[in-house]
Amino acid sequence: MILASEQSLPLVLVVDDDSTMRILLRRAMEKQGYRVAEASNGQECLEIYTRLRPDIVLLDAMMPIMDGFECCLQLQKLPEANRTPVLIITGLEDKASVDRAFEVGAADYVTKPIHWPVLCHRVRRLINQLRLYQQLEAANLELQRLAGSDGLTHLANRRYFDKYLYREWQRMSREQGPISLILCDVDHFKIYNDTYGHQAGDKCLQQVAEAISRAAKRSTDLVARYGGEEFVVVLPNTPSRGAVRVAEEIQMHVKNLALPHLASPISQVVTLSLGIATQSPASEVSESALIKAADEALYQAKHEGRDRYCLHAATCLDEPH
Amino acid sequence: MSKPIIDREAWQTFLGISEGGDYEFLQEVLDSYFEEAPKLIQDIQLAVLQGDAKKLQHAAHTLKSTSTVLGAVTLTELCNELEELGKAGATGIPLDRGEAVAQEYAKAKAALEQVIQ
Repeated sequence: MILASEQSLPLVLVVDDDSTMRILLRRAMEKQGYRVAEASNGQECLEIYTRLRPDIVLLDAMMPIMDGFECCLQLQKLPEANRTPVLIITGLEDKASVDRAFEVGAADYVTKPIHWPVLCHRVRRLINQLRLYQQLEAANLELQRLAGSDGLTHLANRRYFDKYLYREWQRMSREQGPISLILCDVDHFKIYNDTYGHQAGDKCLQQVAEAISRAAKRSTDLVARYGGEEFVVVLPNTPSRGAVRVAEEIQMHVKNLALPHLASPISQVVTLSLGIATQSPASEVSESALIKAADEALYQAKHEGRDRYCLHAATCLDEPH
Repeated sequence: MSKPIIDREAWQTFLGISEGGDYEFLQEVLDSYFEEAPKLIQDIQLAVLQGDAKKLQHAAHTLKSTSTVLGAVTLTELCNELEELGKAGATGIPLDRGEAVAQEYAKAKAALEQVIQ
């Protein structure tokens, strides 16, 4: 059993067919403060590797059946194996063996008889490298997330929306399915800001963002902040009827927020105007046509008095033909 | 008999790994060694008998690795010689080489048992 406090200690997988060597390597690694798992042959190594995801593998080059080089090669083919370093322990210091070790993807090698301080240094260096890679990857992911998200509402931002819509447009074009778009605008938001102040305005946008997100629930649905008080919902694989249902649900959630908007000429609470458009992507039309249609529908909703949705008539699409 | 069977320096390095005398650990390593070595020696003798160079290389290499760690120098040298012969694909190795490994091992074992007392 591994204690929770030990989880963060690096795990070293020692692979050697000779049990005495395994005991020695285990001790040397444990002295460095690492956790150790053992495998006595190549096949076992692959199994334990997949199960335990070690931070580094110490691999004896000379083993019966599947030698260390072959085992290393197999390890690289595992989907989990992207960064975990393999250190090959070889009794053969000839150029061919060293070349072979690097060819099969080893990160480093040491020769037998093992010079223990050298081994420990190399293992520590490789583990540190792995940690750096992992931190870098995490930082990159976080950066990517930040680059695509809106700071105020934590929704996707315009940049991400553009990319996402393009991608889903292409996908729906291949799958020949309908894609719907809902553009939402907070009614009389300028008056809201003038009445309650910009901090209250920000708070209002955050709550509206959450309310919209609650209505667009499927994993492929995307809610993004389109501009100041404008939001957009991408609904792949959704005909007009489905988009109207989502729009109605958005209206309901926003009404339920019951955010006072006493200076609004049309209501006592915060409301939305929504424009809905649906299209079946075709190769000769780009996704900007869909945005344009939704924008026209939104304009119409505002024109008819706000606090309502309008469906773009020309693009209304319900049953696939 | 001028050469020592156990090299003090190598033994000291090994004690370094064991943190200078963790008796249980030393015993564990030696127990494992004493269990594995006879199998490897048998492999070596069989390989010599059958003229199986690959098997000879592998068994001699493995025995060499652990014998080195324990400082069993004379046994290490003999294993090295056999490993090289195996690597070169030599056949027709005199049968007494296999016997010599067994004798060297017996000496090393006795010396190691004495050191750990």
